[in-house]
Amino acid sequence: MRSALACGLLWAVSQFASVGTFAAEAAVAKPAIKASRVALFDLAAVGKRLVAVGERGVVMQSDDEGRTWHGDRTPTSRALSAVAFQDDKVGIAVGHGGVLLRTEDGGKSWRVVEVSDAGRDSFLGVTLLRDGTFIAYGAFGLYVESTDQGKSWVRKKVVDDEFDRHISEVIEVGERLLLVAESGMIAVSPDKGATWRKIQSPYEGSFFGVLKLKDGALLTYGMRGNAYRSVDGGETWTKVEIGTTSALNGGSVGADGRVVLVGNNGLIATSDDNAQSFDLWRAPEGLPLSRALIGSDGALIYVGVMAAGRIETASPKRQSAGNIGS
Amino acid sequence: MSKRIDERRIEKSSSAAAEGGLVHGEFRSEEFADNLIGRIGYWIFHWRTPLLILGILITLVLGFFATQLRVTAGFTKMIPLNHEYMRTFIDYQSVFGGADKVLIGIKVKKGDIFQPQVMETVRGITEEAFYLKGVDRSSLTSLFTPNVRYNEVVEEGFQSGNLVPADFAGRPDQMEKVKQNILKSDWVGRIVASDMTATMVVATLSDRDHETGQRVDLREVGRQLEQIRAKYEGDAVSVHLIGFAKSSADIAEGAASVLGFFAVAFAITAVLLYWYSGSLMLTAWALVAAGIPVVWLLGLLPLLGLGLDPMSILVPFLIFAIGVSHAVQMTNAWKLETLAGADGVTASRNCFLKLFIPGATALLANALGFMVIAMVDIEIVRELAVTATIGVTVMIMTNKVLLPILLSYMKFSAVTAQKLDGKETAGDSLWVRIAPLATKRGAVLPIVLSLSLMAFGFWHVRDLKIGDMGKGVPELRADSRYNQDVEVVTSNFAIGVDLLQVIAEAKGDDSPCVERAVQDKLEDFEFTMRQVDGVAAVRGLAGYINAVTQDFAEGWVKWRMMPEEKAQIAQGIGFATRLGNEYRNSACTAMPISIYTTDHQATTISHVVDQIKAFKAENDSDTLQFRLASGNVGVMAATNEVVETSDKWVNFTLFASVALLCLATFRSMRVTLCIILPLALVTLLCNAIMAMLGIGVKVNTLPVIALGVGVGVDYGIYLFERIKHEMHERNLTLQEAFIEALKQRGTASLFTAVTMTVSVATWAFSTLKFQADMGILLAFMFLVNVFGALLLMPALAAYIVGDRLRPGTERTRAPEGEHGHATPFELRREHEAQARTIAEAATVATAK
Repeated sequence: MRSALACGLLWAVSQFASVGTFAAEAAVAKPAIKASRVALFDLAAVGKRLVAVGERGVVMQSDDEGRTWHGDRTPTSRALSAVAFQDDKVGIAVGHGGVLLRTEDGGKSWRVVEVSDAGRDSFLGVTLLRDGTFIAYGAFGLYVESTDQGKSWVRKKVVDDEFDRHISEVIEVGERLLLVAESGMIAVSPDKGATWRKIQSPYEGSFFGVLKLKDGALLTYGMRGNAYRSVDGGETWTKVEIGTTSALNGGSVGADGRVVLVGNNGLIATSDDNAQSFDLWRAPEGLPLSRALIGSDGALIYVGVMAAGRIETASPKRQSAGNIGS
Repeated sequence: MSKRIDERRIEKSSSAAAEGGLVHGEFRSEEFADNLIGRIGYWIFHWRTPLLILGILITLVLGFFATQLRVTAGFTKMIPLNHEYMRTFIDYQSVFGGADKVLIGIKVKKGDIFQPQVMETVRGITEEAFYLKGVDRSSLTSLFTPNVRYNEVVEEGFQSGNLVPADFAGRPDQMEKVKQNILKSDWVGRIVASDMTATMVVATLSDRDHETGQRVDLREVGRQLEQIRAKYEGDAVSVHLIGFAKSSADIAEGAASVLGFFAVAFAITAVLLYWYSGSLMLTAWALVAAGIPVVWLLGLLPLLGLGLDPMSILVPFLIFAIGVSHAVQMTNAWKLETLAGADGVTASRNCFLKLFIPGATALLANALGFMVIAMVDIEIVRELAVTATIGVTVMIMTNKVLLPILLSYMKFSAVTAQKLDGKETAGDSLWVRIAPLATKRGAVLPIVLSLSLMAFGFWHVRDLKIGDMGKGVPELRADSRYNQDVEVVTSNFAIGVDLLQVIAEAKGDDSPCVERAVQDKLEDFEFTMRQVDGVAAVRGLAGYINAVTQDFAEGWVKWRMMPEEKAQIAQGIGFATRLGNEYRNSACTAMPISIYTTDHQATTISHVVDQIKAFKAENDSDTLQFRLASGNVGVMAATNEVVETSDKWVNFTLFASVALLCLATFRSMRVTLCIILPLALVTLLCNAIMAMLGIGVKVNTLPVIALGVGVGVDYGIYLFERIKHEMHERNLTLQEAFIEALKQRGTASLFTAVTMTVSVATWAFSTLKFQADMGILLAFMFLVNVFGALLLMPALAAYIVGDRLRPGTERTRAPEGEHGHATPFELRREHEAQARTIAEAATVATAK
């Protein structure tokens, strides 16, 4: 009978062994965030590191010039629209819903800074001025300033009392601030934003950004592929034909002066003559790109909606776009 | 030993001789044992002429009905309708469309799609797709349908329109306009390939025809699709047809072609039978006896309102094979009786009495095995189980009643029988040689061997996976036209064909979907799923609202976000309503999130589903729930889960019921173990082989084990019935009884194993991968099971049973030969002898 029992046991084991192998695995680990699967809205270089911010409070970082990315969520679930760093430690990221984050460790950890004056309005950009002042700006004339490295913020009125346009970007040009905004608005401030003067706009559509070029000229760009160049500090503007009707979402100027504009439908436009003429081509994703930078080796690194890539060649050709992602 | 056999033969022949000329006369109940079997036997033989006529009539009638049998394929039949995921699927099928999509890919051979001829083809195919059986016309999507629009931001606001304007006539300027519209739209990668060399016509099929209300026969849809292909494919374009309906139709066509193998199996079996029996007559009767249940089964199915589907089409093969197996046992025994000098009637009667118990038990075991499969909650499997159970049940009638009657009409003198060159006794010398396996010493080798095989099995079975392993449609072979079409479509379009839909259900009054809290969760879900390995793309309402918000902000990407205000969210949803129900239902309480997976391998599916479950666990609330799952991958996920849970229960119930049956037959735990253990080992090895061949546990492999065990148990039952009989009635040792059993049943068992293996092995040449898999696995089960019964069972018996079944050793354990008093066995022998003398005397008297 003992042998019978043993055999019975063996049989039972043989029946359930095959079942046991399918047993559920251990607790499910959260998947790592992939740069090419996130809508990223801004890209900034911090020393040798790249920091990109995007949807659901995600901050991605790359230590190898965009070849690989790693990232995490921050304490907000709102989309982050822009990021700026003071040095390799202190940085500010802003986003929709009046969200403003601050880091003191180069972007490893972020803390929410309450900006009560912002309400739930959207921040669309943040700029560090030469004197160390941070300005953050966005929807409905939202404009706040911090003189203590982003720890506290004060709202300021800009342009005029009635001004309620979405401010797209503010840059420092010499001693002046230059502001571009919705509905073709361009304004300058000679006194760090205390007073503003509207400039006759060449375009009724919206501007999404403005760049200071290597030769001292300015380039503002915006909806439906419109871009205008100014050689007199922003007083007068002339149209630059880019040859696209896609929105131009963001731009940058490389150390060698190369201008890179990116836009919807995977548009990339580069210029080696200070934005007087552009070469056009398409990133393989075909989706909106938000910002591209020129890396130290001359490669073009771009981020956008479900897009994060690197184009190695120094003089990109139309079809040579490659996608690295991570 | 041989002396004993001779004695037995003389015994029989003398009784036969005594019956003399009585061949076709009336039967007397005294000739049959005074038990239930005896009474049934008497009754059958008493009424043999009317029964035979009845049998022939039934066969003719059912044969007529069998011609009305159809091979069908339906969508809902193949899915586990009671699974949680499929409830979601059914709840929303009418709103969001089924998982049953038809995709017609049009690939340009030269240049791009912007050629008048190509556009004309697309228009033509769109129009024809409108008339596909069961097509949900509002779901029809192509360059020429009004639901395909572009949306453009201009300084003045929005500009939108159909990709192909209504007045499109193919002029070059119009062609350029279409091209620009496509580039502005988000249809690139969906119905137009990103390199503009291919386009698609897509539609959803309902399970029922909206005009007739009848279940859509997917084969009909498949034929319509092939007509479209034949009409439009040519020098300019190739047409690629994919989707569940097409693959099912292809599978059904392939399944029908498998019937050709039936002829092959039949021919091979006939040749083998003739070689084995040496008699045309016996060959013919065995084939007739095996064929009749097939005819009955095929005739009963249309009467019961059932059809054959690609899976149950294999059942007639099985029934035929099983029928041959039992018929061979019967004709074999009948021939042995006649060789011993009995006439047809006596031989037939003795066969019936001897074989009814083991035969009926074995068939019951088969039926049990088949019924157990019905536990799998998938209609197609249930129908397979029902079909197979019916088949085996009618076989008890045909094989145990009709065949003995047929044989009883045969005259076969001992002299002719001797002349016949049969192989029934061919194995005798071999049987004597393997007999030592039934001793403790001889049993060591097979047991050690089995243990190492067991270790081998356990080692490999760890790699066994649930679900699909290959790419494309796993039922079809990788190089089939369908799977090539899948390859073309997936390589040309960004969005694949493998879709898992999760339905987010929001509760609350008046369009709860506009709540930011709801959309925040949806956005989080879409974001989280995009990060999961195996996910190619995610589409959902939240992402759509974000994109609309960007459009409203003049296209600036920084505004691609979920607005804070209800009004703005509602604006995005308002745009979504233009797309029909793609992103939400009309009450906006249910929002499907479409997750396109990179493939439908089981590991991919379970990984994605696990991530969804993890998200659900963290985020489901009273107001918002994420429900799994629709889409073809949703169906696969449910099926895999059902298969996974069913697998253990089917195996457990199968072995439990077969064991119970053995217990009831043999009334011995030990005998039962000896029969079951080899089966369990073979089952384990079968699983190991599946893992090694890369065959996953699936709907179609589930029945293999059940069928294999159900049929495999026959050998053990037939053999042990004899062993027990010989030990119990004639007080033989286990080894002697084993030899006797082998001589009477072993050759037939081995032979039937071979014929059945050959029969199912023909499936390996099927155009359908899953039939080939089933054929290979079943062939393995059938063949290896007989070795288990012949080699391992006696070895186990040597240890587990020993000589316990001998009456002399059962309780007293007295040494052999020391019979101090009459044992119950001897008393019974005497009683039997007396009864026989009386019966013979009576027969002789009647004859005179």
